[in-house]
Amino acid sequence: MSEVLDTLRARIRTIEGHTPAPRAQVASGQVALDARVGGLPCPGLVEVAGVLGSGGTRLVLGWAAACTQRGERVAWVEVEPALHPPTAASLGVSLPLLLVVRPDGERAAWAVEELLRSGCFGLVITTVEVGGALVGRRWEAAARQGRSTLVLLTACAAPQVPAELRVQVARGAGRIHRRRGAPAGGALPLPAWRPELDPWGGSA
Amino acid sequence: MSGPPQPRFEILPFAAVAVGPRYLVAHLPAFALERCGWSAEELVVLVALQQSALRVVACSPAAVAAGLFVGMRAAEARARLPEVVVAPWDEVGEAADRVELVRALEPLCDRIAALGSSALVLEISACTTWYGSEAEVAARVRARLGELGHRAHVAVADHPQAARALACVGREEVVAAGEGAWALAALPLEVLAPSEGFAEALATLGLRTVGQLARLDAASVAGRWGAEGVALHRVARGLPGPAWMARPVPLPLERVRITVEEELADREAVALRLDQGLVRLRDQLAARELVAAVVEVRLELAWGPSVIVRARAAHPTRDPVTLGRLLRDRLTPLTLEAPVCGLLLHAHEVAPDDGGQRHLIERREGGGRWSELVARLSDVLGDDAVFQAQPAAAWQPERTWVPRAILAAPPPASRASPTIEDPVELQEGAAWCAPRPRPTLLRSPPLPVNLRVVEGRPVALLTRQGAAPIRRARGPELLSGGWWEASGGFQRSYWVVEVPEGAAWVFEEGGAWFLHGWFD
Repeated sequence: MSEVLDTLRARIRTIEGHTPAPRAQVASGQVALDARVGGLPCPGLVEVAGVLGSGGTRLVLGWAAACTQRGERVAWVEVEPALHPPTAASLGVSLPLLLVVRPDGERAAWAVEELLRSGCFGLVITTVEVGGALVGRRWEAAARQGRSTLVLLTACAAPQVPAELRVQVARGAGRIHRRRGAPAGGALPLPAWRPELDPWGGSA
Repeated sequence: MSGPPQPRFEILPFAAVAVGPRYLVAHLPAFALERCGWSAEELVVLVALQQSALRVVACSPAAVAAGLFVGMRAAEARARLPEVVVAPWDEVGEAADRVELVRALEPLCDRIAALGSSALVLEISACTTWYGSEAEVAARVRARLGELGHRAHVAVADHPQAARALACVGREEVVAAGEGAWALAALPLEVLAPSEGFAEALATLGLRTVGQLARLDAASVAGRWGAEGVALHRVARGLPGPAWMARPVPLPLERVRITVEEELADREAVALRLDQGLVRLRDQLAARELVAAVVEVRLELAWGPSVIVRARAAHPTRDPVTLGRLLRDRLTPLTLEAPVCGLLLHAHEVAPDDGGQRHLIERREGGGRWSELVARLSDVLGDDAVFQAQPAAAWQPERTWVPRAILAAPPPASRASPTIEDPVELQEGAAWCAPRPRPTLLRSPPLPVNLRVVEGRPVALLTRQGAAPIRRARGPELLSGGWWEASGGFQRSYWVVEVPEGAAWVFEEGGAWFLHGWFD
């Protein structure tokens, strides 16, 4: 009974704005990641760094598939047309729940911020270049307001945003590079292709 | 015996005599009904709530002939004439139509204004230069009103009230300058539209005609009845009316002009004025039970052309918070070359308010509204920049999906896997018809690359840094189609190649190699 009362008191304080909303985590759909860090921060920022072809998109689309399977919307923001939606669908992403936004370079950061703040999306994935620390802070505030998770796909080795979780991807292998509140490190196996989707046909 | 030489007077033609302003008044006795499309022969009355009862405010000539009159109760009118059509009086709509009527006559004379609820006044002293005579001007005005579906009585005099008095009683005359008193003398005092108290006072004194009022002493009129008495006394005596005061034509109810005392140099000041104007626009739209689907703001700059910004609302609304946010989002990326010296708000597209209450609290909640977000993004980024993907039946990889309009609500999530029911597929097994591996990222258009090919297999990727070996390659996968198209279709040999970074998708077509995507 006292626990229930404490919980209610905490919620009331939260509504009244005396304490910040507790940070939660949502399942990413990737067993290894959920077991290691508990899931994706929500609200929060996640950064996936890796060059083209390293497997970062495949990792992120797996998280998007889990998100759409929960009935939540996912937004994909890119300046240059790149995402191939049929492949995303084959990985389990529900296309009716996927919104693709292709802003020009000047409005890209604004578009990401609007999507985060709207609260309509469980996940906002972007490949937009971050134009400075202010953009990252604005995205963080917008994610907090809309209770959304931003995933930034970047090829830069250096951190681009104040991410709570940072994953480095290289040649099909991943590594948790940074994690807020706990020691970083640890290999992170990337989700393997389904056999029928393996570009190598299942061969080594 | 001769006296001092007499001055010589030269008699000038009438048109050359310097006169004061000349006023033309067009009285439209049935404007309230004609604007709604009712004709004079139809039995129609307009009613409005007055003195705690529905009363007649306008009658068609046929209804008047049948014994109905302005001021009677609607129930009484129905009792007298059961077949009469009783329609509600739309005061706001009538005002808007009156403004449009003024605009329609502006090409004839730029000095025009509404005079009361059923008349127009034009100052035509300069018009005779173009049209020849005041009678010709009157004929043109009458004809133009006739084209617009209105019957009008037109009169011209030195004073607008004098011309109006003549037009109201149906005397379509061009009263010469200085002869107004003679023209009005025999008319009853009611034509001057005195106030109730003034009319009662004149009746008490036994005054019935305009001529009797004109014979009173001006000082005593001023002492007894003040400004109203003085004004009507001048009309009765045929004295010239006041000089034309240019009055701005009121804006339609879907527009709001925001005046600024000093130029606005920063966005916050512009946004504040915008919010104030949107509140006024909301009230004007609410009076007509309208909502705005598209709202536009014109920023008038101190120098240079005006800037026009337009925004579309996901759901038509008149909520100033919602419309203000849409306009501010549109204004944010703009660079203003000069300070703002005026704003004009315009509900560019309006729709009837269906009365549906979409949100209990008309404010932005933390969860946001999907349609509003999509509309805002589309408005700022363009309709082509925000979309959902729909698979398409095509062999060419870049055509296997098309952008489509965004669904208002997502379909319910389903975890069920599609089952294969085709008997051939079941018999042959799903292996050959299973989805082929496709890259997660597809380049558009494909990037030309240089590959070293040995016996038809790519073995190295040639870049500026040198030759990067291809560790393994799988293919070819032959894709072709579209031969019926004007371009002749495509015929490609696709390979999955492993380069130092990862797995890429390349193809050969017409002897050239292209990088099409990444298995990222």
